[in-house]
Amino acid sequence: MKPAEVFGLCYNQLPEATLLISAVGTIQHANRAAKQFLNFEGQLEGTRLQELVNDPPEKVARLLSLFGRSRDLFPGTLLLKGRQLSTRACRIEGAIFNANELEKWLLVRLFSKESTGREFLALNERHETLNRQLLERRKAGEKLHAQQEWLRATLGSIADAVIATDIHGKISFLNGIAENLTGWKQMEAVGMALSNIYDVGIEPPLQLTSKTGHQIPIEESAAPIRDAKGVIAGSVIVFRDVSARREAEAAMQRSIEALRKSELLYRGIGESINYGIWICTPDGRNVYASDSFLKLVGITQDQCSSFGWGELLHPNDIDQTIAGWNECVQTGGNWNIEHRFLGVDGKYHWVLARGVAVRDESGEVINWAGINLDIDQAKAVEENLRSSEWNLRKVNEASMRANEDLRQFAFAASHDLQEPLRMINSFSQLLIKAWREGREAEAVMSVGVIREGTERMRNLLTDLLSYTQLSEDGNQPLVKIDLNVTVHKVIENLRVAIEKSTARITVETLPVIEGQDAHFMQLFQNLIENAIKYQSSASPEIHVSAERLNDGWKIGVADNGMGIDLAHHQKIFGVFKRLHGKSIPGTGIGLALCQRVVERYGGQIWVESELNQGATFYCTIPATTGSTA
Amino acid sequence: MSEPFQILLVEDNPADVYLLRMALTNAKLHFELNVIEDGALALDYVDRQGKNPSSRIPDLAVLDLNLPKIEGLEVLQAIRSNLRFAEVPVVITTSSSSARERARSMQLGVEQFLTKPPDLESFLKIGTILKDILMVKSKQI
Repeated sequence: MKPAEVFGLCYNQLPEATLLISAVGTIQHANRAAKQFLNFEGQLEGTRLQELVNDPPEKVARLLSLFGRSRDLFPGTLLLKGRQLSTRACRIEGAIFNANELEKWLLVRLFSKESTGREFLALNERHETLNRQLLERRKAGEKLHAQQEWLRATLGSIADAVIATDIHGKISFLNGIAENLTGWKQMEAVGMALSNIYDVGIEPPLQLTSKTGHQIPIEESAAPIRDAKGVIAGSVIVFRDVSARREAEAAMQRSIEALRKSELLYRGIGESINYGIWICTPDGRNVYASDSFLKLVGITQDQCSSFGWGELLHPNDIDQTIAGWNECVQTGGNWNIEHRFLGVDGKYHWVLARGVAVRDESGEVINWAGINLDIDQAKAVEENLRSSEWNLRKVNEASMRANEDLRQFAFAASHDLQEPLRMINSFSQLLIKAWREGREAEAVMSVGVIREGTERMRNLLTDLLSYTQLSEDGNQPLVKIDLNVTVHKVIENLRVAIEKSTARITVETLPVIEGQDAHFMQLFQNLIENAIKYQSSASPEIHVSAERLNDGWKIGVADNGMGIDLAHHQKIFGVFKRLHGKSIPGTGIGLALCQRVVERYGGQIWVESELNQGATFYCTIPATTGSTA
Repeated sequence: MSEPFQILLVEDNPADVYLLRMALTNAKLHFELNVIEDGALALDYVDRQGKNPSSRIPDLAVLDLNLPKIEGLEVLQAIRSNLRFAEVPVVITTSSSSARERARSMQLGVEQFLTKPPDLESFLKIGTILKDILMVKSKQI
């Protein structure tokens, strides 16, 4: 079928006046609308376009030329012949309809001026619609593009490597990280089999072998890709380089190992010294104590953790330790204490505990840690030192007291010995004088004074000898003395005085002690003699008693005599100190001697008495020298 | 003949009392001797006489330092702190002469601090010393 025929079939129906003309302007075909519009009497086919218009042939030729170069309809205007002015001006548009080797045909459409506006509006509207559609399409494209870009950027920028495959396992996408890790570029990888570029072995831990042969430890996860209908369209693999983490884990493992080793080390150190180390919770509960300590006191770690250690403290150390530890836990201060623990050997052991609060970065106490040190030996040395220091001081004091005794003794002796000498001297002169002058009574009296003086002198010298001997016979061996026997002998010695004074003496059972018999003879002789001598108006009642003390014996000699004023209770034990004049004979040495004896054995002597109420002399004798008779 | 001098003697040794009486007699002194044998009795005496305004206060006190019960220095202190006895001249006689006792006596105020001489002749001279003190005192009055 020829073009014109096709044209005729299709375009006879078009509402516009449409012509098919040759390139030189000869009408080949006109549709029905064109025949009506042109209202041409005769055959339009074969007529030239120039014949229908008043326009100069140059203008028509130029229009045809323009139409002949245009694929889109090209607009122009013409003046149709023989018509009213209102219908003369018409609008024409034309374009190439068909071009072959033989001829070029043009499609031309004609519009009256009135219809031109309407047509233009319609065209314009269409144009706008097209434009709008175009714009929307472009926008949608841009949006799509942006989404694509965004996706690309996201995949490219995430820290994990991403590989996507299609349903056949062929690579469809690699992001930047995946490129870096595998060593493959997206361009070269797309379409290749996954296993070619993602070689991770089978057994965990996964090791990616890169294109260049590097081994990279990785972690991966994979998921299927589904299309809009939910059908699996491929898969995506996300993986990451975990070498840094593996390194960190290895480092952690190494440090845990190091920690374990150091714990073994410190425990080892703890075991190597008595009594090791300890660790407590912030609130003071023990969680670890070295075996050496647990073995010392014979408790388990569990018992230690439930404060079992507190029960093993020396009774004298408990309060101080518990209170101190509680305070320490509250204040967070340093722990430092010396205390004694009851060991499994049944002995108390000195332990020095020291510790500190272990704090975290924020200063919070996370533990208490410290040491237990065996300081038994140090304590023993300290104790020795202290006791030798104490002994030294005792010796020093004793020597000072001895010096003072000696000084007092020398002074008193010079006085007390001079007195009878002066008497003897003065009255022997008076005796001579009285004898010459024949005063017999004075002579007799003088002789009496001289005799008294010599007697006194003798007594003094005897007592002084006993007193000084006490200092000298310190090296005599101690023997067992039954004090019952001693007192019996004393009573025998004093028989004359006892009978004369009608004194009654009662004696309780007395202990056996260790000492020198002479010393205790002197002690009881002086005390009982005094009790008889310083009697009151009643006849003397004397009672010798013995009382067991925790650490020895308390011996008492009680009388019903004249008693001693409280003011003199100390003074009476001094050398040559006497409360009575010539009416009651005495040397003033007796009680000094007693004191010396008792102190020699580590005891004390004192008197309990009131004036006219009798007196009881007590002395203590430490148990180291005594036992029950 | 004038009133005898009243002399208080605090002394526990009867032999010394005998000697002092002899010394005063040898000094041809007209005297009455009031002997008290221990410190406690002496304190009682001073206290009693001090409270009794009509009693006679001694013209001289002779005091042994080494007394039973209460020592001489304590008696001296009681004498010096008693209003009526405060002006009584006191002579100390002692057989020991400790510097401390001497200093303390002087501090309390005594006429003489005498160590009992070891021979009879020197002892009897004490009578003259006491007489001189009494004579000076009687002239003052």
